[in-house]
Amino acid sequence: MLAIEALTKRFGGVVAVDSVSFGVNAGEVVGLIGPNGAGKTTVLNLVTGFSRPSAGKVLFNGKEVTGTPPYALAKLGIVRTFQTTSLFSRMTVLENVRIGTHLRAGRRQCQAIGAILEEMSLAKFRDFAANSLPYGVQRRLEIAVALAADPKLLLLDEPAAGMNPEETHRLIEELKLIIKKNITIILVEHNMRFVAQVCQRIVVLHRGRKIAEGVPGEVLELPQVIEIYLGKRRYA
Amino acid sequence: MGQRKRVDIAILCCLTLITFAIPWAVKSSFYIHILIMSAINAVLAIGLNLCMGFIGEKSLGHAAFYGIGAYTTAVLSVHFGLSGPLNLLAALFVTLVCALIIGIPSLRLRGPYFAIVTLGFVLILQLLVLNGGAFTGGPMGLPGIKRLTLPNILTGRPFTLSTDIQYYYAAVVCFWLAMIVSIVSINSRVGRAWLAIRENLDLAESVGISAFRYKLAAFLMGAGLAGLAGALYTHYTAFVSPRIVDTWINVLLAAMVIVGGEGTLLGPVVGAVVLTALPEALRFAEGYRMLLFGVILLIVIMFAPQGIVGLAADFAKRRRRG
Repeated sequence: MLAIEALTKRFGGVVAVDSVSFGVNAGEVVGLIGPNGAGKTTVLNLVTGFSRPSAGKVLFNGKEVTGTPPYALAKLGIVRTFQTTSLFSRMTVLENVRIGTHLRAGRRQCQAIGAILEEMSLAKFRDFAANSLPYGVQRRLEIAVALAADPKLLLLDEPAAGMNPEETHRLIEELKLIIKKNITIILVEHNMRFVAQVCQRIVVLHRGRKIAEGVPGEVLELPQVIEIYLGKRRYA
Repeated sequence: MGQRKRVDIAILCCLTLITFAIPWAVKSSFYIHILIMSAINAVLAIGLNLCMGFIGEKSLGHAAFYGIGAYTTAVLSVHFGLSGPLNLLAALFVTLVCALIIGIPSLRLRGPYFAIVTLGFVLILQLLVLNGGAFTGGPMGLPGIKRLTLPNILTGRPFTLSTDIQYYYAAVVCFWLAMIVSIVSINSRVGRAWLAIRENLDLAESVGISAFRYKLAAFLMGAGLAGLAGALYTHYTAFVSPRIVDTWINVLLAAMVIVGGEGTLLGPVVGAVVLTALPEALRFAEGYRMLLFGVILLIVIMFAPQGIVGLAADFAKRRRRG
């Protein structure tokens, strides 16, 4: 479904992403992990059109979409969430989700809003302002807004960041629901246990390079992966 | 939500009645003049509010479109002898073309570029008008503009607007046109996209909203309304001078939107009426008039940063809570 070919992003002299290639099949859940500064979010920004790659290609369903602006990618079905909570914070939950359904027309829009509010158990908050909600609910609303845009490929940037174990558990349950709807997911994440529970495949980035790829059980045992993570822990 | 909507509709109905009934209550031609100018300023402020209030893109060149509308009409009237609906259409067309030329490159960018480009545009236009020779009348302006003649559908005979009351009604029609544009768009998909862009541009784009297109639409609507207002003003005063493209008018228009309440439907209207009437009401202060004007503006901005309409909404909310 998505193919990334030799994607490179330079910021001045810094190579944030260095010739990274990987593919994502339809219906798959792929985790993108790596220590801070590995280039995970940059890859996500490149794929979703928020920044332009210095070199390389992004292909979606066989068509090149490198450098396509985010709103056009949303029309094709590529939708993302953001690392720091990003909502229409002064608007209500209902208004947030309604804006998410911008690309859908007429009656389908109303149905979609109701269904998403139910699914993400946000119905009871519908008339609350987004910025008045607890953190966990705000993050859930972010995913709801993204779902409202009817994505085929959903890119989640650290959805579990800052969540307590209970909230994380709940998030996993919701993600399983989304996966059932046949939405392909790329998950950028720090939380290893979380990634191992949800993802079928993992791509490990370190200093902008891809250093490993495979099923979670195997990849997390690889010496080079353990090294970068333990290394990080030692200096932390 | 339901109650708020009912209040809004009640306010709009009262406003309709008031705007159309005023000539029966007000006989003084001085007051009628101030009301005409209030209506014209309200059209400008409503147009500016589309961009500034609903999207958050500050235009510092709204007066330019007012000026383009005014000068297009003036030139057509003085040099080509036209005074019909064609003048209005031409004013609309020329302002829209200019707005496209200004908007397409500058609204694609993030940051203060749109504000800078629009400001530059007013300054350029001012130079063009001042140095336009006989074509624009230069610093002396263009006098002797014909009054507006509209075809009368009922009698078939053309009908020339000559009295102040007739111009008052023309301005009121223009005002309601602006109100309808603003009300319809803010309650539609377009308006929701505008607010989404204002609140969170990245998120709006990521769910499929093309910020550029929606910004351009708001800018064009505002510019078109300003062009019409300019054309009407020129026919009303029968004279146009470079003072109409002064940056001071921009400041005044922005002040109207802010004092009334940015991003609200009625804010620009309230702001336009208050700031058109206030300088006249302060005439008793003679030399200190503008000083007093400035102090009042400062007080409003310090104590009602949400504008008069925002203040009223807050007050209503607090009373409801008890």
